[in-house]
Amino acid sequence: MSDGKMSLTGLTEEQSEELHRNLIQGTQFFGMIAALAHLLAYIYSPWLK
Amino acid sequence: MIYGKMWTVVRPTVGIPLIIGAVAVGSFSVHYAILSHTTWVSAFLEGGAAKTAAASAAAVAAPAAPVKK
Repeated sequence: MSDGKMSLTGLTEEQSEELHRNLIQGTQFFGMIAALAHLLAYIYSPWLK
Repeated sequence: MIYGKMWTVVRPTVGIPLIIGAVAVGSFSVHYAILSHTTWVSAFLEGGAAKTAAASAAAVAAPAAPVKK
Protein backbone atom coordinates (compact mmCIF):
# COMPACT_ATOMS: atom_id res chain seq x y z
CA MET A 1 0.00 0.00 0.00
CA SER A 2 1.20 3.53 -0.73
CA ASP A 3 2.07 5.99 1.99
CA GLY A 4 -1.15 8.07 1.45
CA LYS A 5 -3.62 8.05 4.32
CA MET A 6 -6.74 5.91 4.16
CA SER A 7 -10.19 7.42 3.63
CA LEU A 8 -13.85 6.53 4.12
CA THR A 9 -13.81 4.24 1.07
CA GLY A 10 -10.38 2.82 1.71
CA LEU A 11 -8.88 4.53 -1.33
CA THR A 12 -5.93 6.86 -1.01
CA GLU A 13 -6.08 10.31 -2.60
CA GLU A 14 -3.71 9.15 -5.36
CA GLN A 15 -5.89 6.11 -6.13
CA SER A 16 -8.98 8.31 -6.16
CA GLU A 17 -7.33 10.77 -8.56
CA GLU A 18 -6.23 7.92 -10.83
CA LEU A 19 -9.72 6.38 -10.89
CA HIS A 20 -11.27 9.77 -11.61
CA ARG A 21 -8.82 10.43 -14.46
CA ASN A 22 -9.79 7.16 -16.11
CA LEU A 23 -13.48 7.84 -15.59
CA ILE A 24 -13.18 11.29 -17.19
CA GLN A 25 -11.20 9.84 -20.09
CA GLY A 26 -13.83 7.16 -20.66
CA THR A 27 -16.58 9.77 -20.52
CA GLN A 28 -14.76 11.89 -23.11
CA PHE A 29 -14.32 8.86 -25.40
CA PHE A 30 -18.00 7.93 -25.04
CA GLY A 31 -19.01 11.55 -25.63
CA MET A 32 -16.94 11.84 -28.81
CA ILE A 33 -18.51 8.70 -30.30
CA ALA A 34 -21.99 9.82 -29.22
CA ALA A 35 -21.45 13.26 -30.76
CA LEU A 36 -20.33 11.66 -34.03
CA ALA A 37 -23.36 9.33 -34.02
CA HIS A 38 -25.71 12.27 -33.42
CA LEU A 39 -24.07 14.25 -36.21
CA LEU A 40 -24.60 11.36 -38.63
CA ALA A 41 -28.19 10.95 -37.45
CA TYR A 42 -28.78 14.68 -37.98
CA ILE A 43 -27.34 14.55 -41.51
CA TYR A 44 -29.08 11.38 -42.69
CA SER A 45 -32.51 11.73 -41.05
CA PRO A 46 -35.33 14.30 -41.02
CA TRP A 47 -34.39 15.15 -37.42
CA LEU A 48 -35.04 18.89 -36.74
CA LYS A 49 -35.85 19.52 -40.42
CA MET B 1 -8.19 17.34 -11.33
CA ILE B 2 -11.46 18.83 -10.13
CA TYR B 3 -13.48 16.40 -7.96
CA GLY B 4 -10.62 13.92 -8.21
CA LYS B 5 -10.83 13.13 -4.52
CA MET B 6 -14.56 12.29 -4.55
CA TRP B 7 -13.77 8.54 -4.57
CA THR B 8 -12.24 8.88 -1.13
CA VAL B 9 -15.79 9.64 0.06
CA VAL B 10 -18.06 7.87 -2.44
CA ARG B 11 -17.48 4.15 -2.76
CA PRO B 12 -16.62 3.49 -6.44
CA THR B 13 -18.66 0.26 -6.46
CA VAL B 14 -21.71 2.41 -5.75
CA GLY B 15 -20.89 5.67 -7.54
CA ILE B 16 -19.73 4.34 -10.89
CA PRO B 17 -22.71 2.02 -11.53
CA LEU B 18 -24.97 4.88 -10.39
CA ILE B 19 -23.49 7.30 -12.93
CA ILE B 20 -23.40 4.78 -15.78
CA GLY B 21 -26.90 3.56 -14.93
CA ALA B 22 -28.28 7.10 -14.89
CA VAL B 23 -26.74 7.78 -18.31
CA ALA B 24 -28.12 4.48 -19.65
CA VAL B 25 -31.65 5.07 -18.33
CA GLY B 26 -31.70 8.67 -19.59
CA SER B 27 -30.38 7.71 -22.99
CA PHE B 28 -32.77 4.78 -23.36
CA SER B 29 -35.81 6.86 -22.41
CA VAL B 30 -34.94 9.69 -24.82
CA HIS B 31 -34.35 7.27 -27.69
CA TYR B 32 -37.52 5.34 -26.89
CA ALA B 33 -39.50 8.58 -26.83
CA ILE B 34 -38.14 9.50 -30.27
CA LEU B 35 -38.92 6.00 -31.57
CA SER B 36 -42.50 6.13 -30.32
CA HIS B 37 -43.22 9.76 -31.32
CA THR B 38 -41.81 9.91 -34.85
CA THR B 39 -42.37 7.86 -37.98
CA TRP B 40 -38.91 8.03 -39.51
CA VAL B 41 -37.00 6.08 -36.83
CA SER B 42 -39.31 3.08 -37.11
CA ALA B 43 -39.25 3.45 -40.92
CA PHE B 44 -35.46 3.35 -40.82
CA LEU B 45 -35.49 0.28 -38.54
CA GLU B 46 -38.06 -1.35 -40.82
CA GLY B 47 -35.56 -1.12 -43.67
CA GLY B 48 -36.21 -1.40 -47.40
CA ALA B 49 -36.06 2.35 -48.02
CA ALA B 50 -33.55 1.94 -50.87
CA LYS B 51 -35.56 -0.89 -52.42
CA THR B 52 -38.86 0.99 -52.36
CA ALA B 53 -37.16 4.15 -53.69
CA ALA B 54 -35.62 2.14 -56.55
CA ALA B 55 -38.96 0.48 -57.26
CA SER B 56 -40.81 3.78 -57.43
CA ALA B 57 -38.08 5.26 -59.67
CA ALA B 58 -38.40 2.27 -62.03
CA ALA B 59 -42.16 2.69 -62.08
CA VAL B 60 -41.76 6.32 -63.12
CA ALA B 61 -39.15 5.47 -65.79
CA ALA B 62 -41.15 2.64 -67.30
CA PRO B 63 -44.88 3.29 -66.96
CA ALA B 64 -47.25 0.49 -67.67
CA ALA B 65 -48.66 0.18 -71.19
CA PRO B 66 -52.10 1.71 -71.60
CA VAL B 67 -54.97 -0.71 -71.57
CA LYS B 68 -56.40 -1.33 -75.09
CA LYS B 69 -60.06 -0.63 -75.54
